[in-house]
Amino acid sequence: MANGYETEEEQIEAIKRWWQENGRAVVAGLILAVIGFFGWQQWQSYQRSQSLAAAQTYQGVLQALNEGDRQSAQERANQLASDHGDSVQAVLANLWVASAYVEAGDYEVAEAALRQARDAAGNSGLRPLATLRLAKVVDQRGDRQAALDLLEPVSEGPYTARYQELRGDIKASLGERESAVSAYQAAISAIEARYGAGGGGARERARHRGRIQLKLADLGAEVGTSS
Amino acid sequence: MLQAIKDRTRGWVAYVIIAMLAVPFAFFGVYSYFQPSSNPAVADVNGEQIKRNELDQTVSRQREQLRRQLGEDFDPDQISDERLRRRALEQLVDELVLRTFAEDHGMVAPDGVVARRIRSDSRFQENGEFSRQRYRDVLSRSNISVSEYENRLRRNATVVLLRDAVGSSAFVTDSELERMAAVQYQRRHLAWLRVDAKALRDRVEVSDERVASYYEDNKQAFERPQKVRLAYVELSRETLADGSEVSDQQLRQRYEQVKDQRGQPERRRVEQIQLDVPEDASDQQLREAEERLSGIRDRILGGELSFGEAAREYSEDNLSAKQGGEIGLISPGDLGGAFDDTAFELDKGRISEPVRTSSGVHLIRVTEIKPAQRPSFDAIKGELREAIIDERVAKRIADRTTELKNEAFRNQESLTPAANALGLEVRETDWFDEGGADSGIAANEAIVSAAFSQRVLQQRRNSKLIELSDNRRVVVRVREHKPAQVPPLTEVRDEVAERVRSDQLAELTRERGEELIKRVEEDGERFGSLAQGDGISINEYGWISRQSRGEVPRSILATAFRMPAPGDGDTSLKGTLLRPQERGEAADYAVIALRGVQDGSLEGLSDQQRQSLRQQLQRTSQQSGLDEVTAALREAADVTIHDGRL
Repeated sequence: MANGYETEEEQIEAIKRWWQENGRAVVAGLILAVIGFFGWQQWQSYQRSQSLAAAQTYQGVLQALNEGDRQSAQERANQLASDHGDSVQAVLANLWVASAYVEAGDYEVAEAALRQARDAAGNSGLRPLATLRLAKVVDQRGDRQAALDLLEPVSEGPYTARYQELRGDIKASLGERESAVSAYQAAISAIEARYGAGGGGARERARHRGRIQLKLADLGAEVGTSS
Repeated sequence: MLQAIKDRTRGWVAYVIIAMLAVPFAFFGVYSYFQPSSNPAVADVNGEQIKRNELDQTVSRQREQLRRQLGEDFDPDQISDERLRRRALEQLVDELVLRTFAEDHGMVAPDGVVARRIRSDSRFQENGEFSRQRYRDVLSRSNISVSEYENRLRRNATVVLLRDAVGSSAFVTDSELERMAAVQYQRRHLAWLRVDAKALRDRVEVSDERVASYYEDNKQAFERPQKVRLAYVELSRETLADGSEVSDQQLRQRYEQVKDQRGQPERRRVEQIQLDVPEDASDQQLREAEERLSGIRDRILGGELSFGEAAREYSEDNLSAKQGGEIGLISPGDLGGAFDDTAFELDKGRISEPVRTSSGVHLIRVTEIKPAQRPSFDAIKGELREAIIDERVAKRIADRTTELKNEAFRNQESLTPAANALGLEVRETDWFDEGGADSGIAANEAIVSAAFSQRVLQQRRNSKLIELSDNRRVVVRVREHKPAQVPPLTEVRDEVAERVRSDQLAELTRERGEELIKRVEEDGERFGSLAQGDGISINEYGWISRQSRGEVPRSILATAFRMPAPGDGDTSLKGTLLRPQERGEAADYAVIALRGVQDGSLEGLSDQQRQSLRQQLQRTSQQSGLDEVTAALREAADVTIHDGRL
């Protein structure tokens, strides 16, 4: 501190000068920081309360289904979709409701629930799942073309196998043998490509492939003999 | 200079500086600067870490699980640690991917779910009830705070909720079911004819040149597997029985010890008359009962009543009273107490004085004595000698096992030191391959797998101690090894010739079958009229389903269900080689005629078939859904695996 200030007065003078130049900015910064801090806290607690509310409603859906009260489950799932439209629970609740209605043979309500699930899934990894299930229900309701449209473009990745299988099924029932064959073939190679991937269910994948091969062979197509 | 700073930082200046310093410390705990590197993160997933400790715990848990599942087959050397670690890490990453996804999208497991899991955990229960005290104790013993534990549970529960929802909400639509039923329960109308290869056998000639060239082209097929011959040291009854005699005295002693456990003890047929006396009766009451009983006894002895009549009339033990007092045959100890003692002291035919027991007072009479039947010493002498020798050997084996293990380990290059130390000889086996031998120690799977293990075969070290049944312990090493080799043609000529013959025969058979197909397809001959040639037979089946396995050869079934459906009223034909009934025999050729295809339908199925079909599809849908979601979320996640820290 060789060129430090000589006296206390000079020091105070310097600080005052600095304060005059920068004081406003410092105060503003502090205020912003405080607001930011409390705002963040508020936001967090709001989020938490939202999550808890969604969790409650979700448990309500499960419980209603457990008691066999599909309608009440559906109402709660609707509520989740409107109040917490981008939450995972909104997706899952509607998947549950759809499955209950499919089981009861009411495909119309199931379709509505799956559309909600799909919307709530946004662009997450759950969307293709909801889409696939939606396509199955739409196909079941008789609109094969709409089901095919839902499956386009076929997602490249984990979902390829089942997308292609369903495409193959629909094409085959439309009598488009060539497209059905190539869809089934794509499904089989997609399953085989995932053989190396981890996760349980290696045996299940093999069975799945076996069934697709059956459908492929039924179209009179050559089936690879590797087993 | 420090002095200068100290001088100037007084008063409010100092407070400002301290306040500024306080800010970072408030947000970042000091510990984070000194975090120990002994527990580094092995993977980062969406900003969260998987620590090495966690991985270690998961691996050891899975290893334990494997050990339980495999039981004795568990061999720690065979399951590579590396693979186990990788698999465990993949699982942890998948789990964390699911969890962070769920949490980032506002999913939490509600308190109720967490509470239910805690309450139902048997570790926290006392007498089947949840105990808060115990819950705290268990946690504090494992050094986990309650809030930390509940957080962890909540996170796990979140993953379970997500998985459960994705998996269990899978469904099967009716049209999926209908389509699968159509294919799986399809029926096809078919007939086939067999072109018998044996009938053509005489038309095949196997030349030396063909044999030689076949051998050259297919040498690998004739390869003889590698073989080993082992040297071994064995602790067993056979090698350790030293022939030392079992003395007569020892045998007698053993006989005394066991004779009562063998054979039949003495049994007596007993009758009684019982007067009930409550357990808490006074002496007065007891005496009265005894006097009454004595009175009855006197009347019997006086000939006024028979024992049976008295029992029927006075005995208060209803069950035996009805039988005239008879209880039946008893062995010592059956009834216990004073009753037992008296019954086994009494002479036959005499009536006892009143006997007191906890249920009352009794008169007892013995009507029959069946003496004890013990095996005689001579009868079981041989057996006892064997048992004594077995025990001696077992003890000797137990004593020397450690020594054998140590000696064989200390000197890995030879078995002689171990054999010498134990006074045993080094034995040898015959040659055997990886299939093992028919007899001797090489008939044992544990020995065979040790013989061909890395350690014993490649490194030529002594094996570990191998325990076989009958209390045998063995250490082996390779004495000689013959690598796999292809024998010269002269040695395998017959074998090669047989193969050439079957190949040529199959070719000839196929040609003949294809010619038959041509006759139908091009010359318009009827399929049914083809069966006139030599060695050709027709099988008519009618409608067949995929499930008719027993009746139809598998290759016929497989081919028939892959043929394109014929047009109405048409027949399509296809040929295929049949799998020979025995290895090495020439394959027959089949020509299949498909006359119609009838799709299956849901209505045509039994309830059970429909149920099982639905379950199959449901399982796939469930499992695939889980796989797909996990994989898709993982693709979208930010995952880094630190290979170096595994």
